[in-house]
Amino acid sequence: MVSPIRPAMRNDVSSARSVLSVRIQEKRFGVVPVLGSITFEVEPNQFVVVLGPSGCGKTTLLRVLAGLDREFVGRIMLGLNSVIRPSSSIALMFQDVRLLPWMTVERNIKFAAAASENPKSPQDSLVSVGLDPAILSYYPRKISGGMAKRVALARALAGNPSVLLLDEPFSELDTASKYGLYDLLIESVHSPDAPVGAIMVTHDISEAVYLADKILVLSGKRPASISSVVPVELPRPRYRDDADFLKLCTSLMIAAISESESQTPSKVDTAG
Amino acid sequence: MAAGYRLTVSGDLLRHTAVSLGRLGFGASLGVLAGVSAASLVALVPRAGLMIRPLLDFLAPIPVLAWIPLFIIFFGIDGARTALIATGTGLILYGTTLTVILDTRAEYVDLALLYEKTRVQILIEISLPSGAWTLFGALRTALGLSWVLLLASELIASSSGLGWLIWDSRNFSRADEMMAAMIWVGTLGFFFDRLIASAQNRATAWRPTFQGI
Repeated sequence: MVSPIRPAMRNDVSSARSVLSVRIQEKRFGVVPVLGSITFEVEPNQFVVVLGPSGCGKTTLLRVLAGLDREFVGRIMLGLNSVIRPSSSIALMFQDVRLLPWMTVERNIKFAAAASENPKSPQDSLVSVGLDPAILSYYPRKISGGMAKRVALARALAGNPSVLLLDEPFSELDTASKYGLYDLLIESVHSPDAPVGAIMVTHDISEAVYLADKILVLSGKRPASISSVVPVELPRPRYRDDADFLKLCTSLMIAAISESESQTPSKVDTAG
Repeated sequence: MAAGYRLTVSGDLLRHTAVSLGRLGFGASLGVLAGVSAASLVALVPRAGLMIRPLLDFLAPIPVLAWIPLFIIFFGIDGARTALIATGTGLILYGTTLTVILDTRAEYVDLALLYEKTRVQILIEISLPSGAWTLFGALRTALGLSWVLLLASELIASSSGLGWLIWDSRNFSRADEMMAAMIWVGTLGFFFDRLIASAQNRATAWRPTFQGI
């Protein structure tokens, strides 16, 4: 568990303070190498976005970071501890909401917070994502898709994690709901009273630029590795029609296209 | 009608019903407990599974009724009745519980692992509730079978219980009492099935209801 420290400057890059340190050398599925060398640090209150094409191993990367997949060469450090199994300090929001349908919203949140040393109450968790605590007694089938996503975020944050991993969690929402949730995410990650670092994987360039303090571009080649690191220093709030915003999107797009042109076609398909 | 009234007033019906239900309750509870525990053990302890699974896979196809003589030797008449009901119920619950556990969605298991749940917690909080509908279905089937086994055993070897009441009425050529007892047995069976069905609906209220194809 990382002790509460002073509110971090967003683009501060002193690795000694990093909340998560990733040193992956290789990850294979059988004989197929999926991830190559992937090395980066995440600072407290920093939003890192990993940008890569579909099927390049993004989900696999998050599973490795969460401690769900331990068959890889390398080391993940959470503060001073090596990540060898899932822990309440690292929360993961899956691509699907994955609320347990037989538990009420309240029990779903408690289910997640049980392992944490200082969990938030289900009420506080819901309020922090802008939901009415009245839905605590609801079953997941009773709430809308957008609300379910918020509950899933509340669940992820309920254990007061120091790292939040996000697997394109809002991809199927409409634009307004999606950006509403993104603002909420940015607020949670940059909140001075919770030194949480976030890593989100996505293939959407505009989302990446909107959210990130730092973008890691994954190569589309197999095995995937980081082809470039792009610090995003645009002021917040960011506007998607802002000239600098669009300029950065375009240069990332060009990088992605040149990356995909150099890509060797691969028939092996894995999740991600 | 008159026979039914007579049986009720005399207290015979109530007495025999209580005896039968006691036997059913005891045998079926034992069977449910054994079946669910065995399946859980197989799922949780692979080494135990290596022993239990082939044994039960081999024993399950033997019709339950074929066990009667062996059970009588081991447990006596009354014990054999309980063993018979427990075996019938247990085998059904064992098979269904194991299927339900093995069918647990990997996504849910991943979620549970992420939140540091143990295997026992995964079994109790994920596998069993996610298969609750199927498990209750198995319970209904098992109780239906138990009811049949109980009545059969009471018809053949007993001096009390509803099965015996029917048989005794036949011995005294009281067709009216026999019919009344049969109707009562049917009513009770129906009532129990509805009771479990309603528990099934209540316990799985979280499911989206099926609206028909």
